[in-house]
Amino acid sequence: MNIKEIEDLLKKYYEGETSLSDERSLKAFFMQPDVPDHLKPHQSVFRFFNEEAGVQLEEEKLEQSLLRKIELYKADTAVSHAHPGKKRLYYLTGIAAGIFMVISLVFVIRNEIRHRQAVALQNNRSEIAYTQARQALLMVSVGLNTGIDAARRLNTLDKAVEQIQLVNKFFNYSNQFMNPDEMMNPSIKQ
Amino acid sequence: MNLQDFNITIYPLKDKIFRFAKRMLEQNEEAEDIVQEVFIRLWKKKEDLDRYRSVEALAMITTKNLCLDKIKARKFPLESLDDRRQLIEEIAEETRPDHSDLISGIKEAMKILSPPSRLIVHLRDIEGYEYNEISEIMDMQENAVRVSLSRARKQIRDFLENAKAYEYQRN
Repeated sequence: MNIKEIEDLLKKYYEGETSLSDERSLKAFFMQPDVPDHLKPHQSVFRFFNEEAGVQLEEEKLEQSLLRKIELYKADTAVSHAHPGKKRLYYLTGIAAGIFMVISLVFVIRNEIRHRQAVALQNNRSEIAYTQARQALLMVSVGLNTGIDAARRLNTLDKAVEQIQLVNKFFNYSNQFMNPDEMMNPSIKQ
Repeated sequence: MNLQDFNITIYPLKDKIFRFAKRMLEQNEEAEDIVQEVFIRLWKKKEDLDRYRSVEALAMITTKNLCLDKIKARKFPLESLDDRRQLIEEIAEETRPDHSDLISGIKEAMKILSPPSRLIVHLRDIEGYEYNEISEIMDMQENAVRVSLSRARKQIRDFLENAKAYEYQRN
């Protein structure tokens, strides 16, 4: 392959228009030792690709990786197998904590309900007390009113008594008039 | 598919899977684990494998997905001793004498590519897949694969040219 062809292929290569076999011939060209100076930078690219394609994974490494995995698996399972009691303890504490929470919640709610009922009852009681007091006061006030009526009647009685006293006086005077002796006599009292 | 078929058709893919995983994860040990994982996944599917048009494409797609999962899980990476050891190993690898400056320059150039185009370059220029295979693995239109491959190749070329110009300036 002459240099001109290689240059053309390189141009196509950078445009992504080469086929795999074109690229193989480019690789083959650049693997040979005598490459013109102006193509040297491209040579390093193809040599790099060629070198990278030769990288292999030794079976040894693959085995090592497998061993690492087994170790990892062992370590993983060792943790859970080493303390089975501990694991159970974790579960038990979890369950206990759950039960405790439920019980305490029940207590709190019950207390709250009781408290509310007591408050409601107290409110009820004070209402009853209020109405009773009102009724009592009402009764007292009605009784007082009837008392005042009675007292008014007493008043008329007073007036009547006055009238009667006037009549009494008239009788006294009329007696004196009828018996002047008695009038002279101081021993006689009104 | 029995164990023998598996050994014949799937086991030889180990290097391709490893290279692809390494390209995505940029880490050796994780890539090795991915190969294991891919084999396990495919083995679990062994009854259905005959129904796939290309088992190799399926293996590569599985690799890609597992690597993406691994990268996602990395968001809060735990820096372990292993990672540091890996880093030291990789530095040692890069400074090996048979790596010329230009080749390590291309490694740098590969890193500036966007992750999908880096994978496309890998699949085409390193693994030599056809466009229709790449479009299946990457879950992209064939034309889009061509476009981003061409763009990525030019990006590598320009990166190297700039690096070279920089070298000249320094000298």
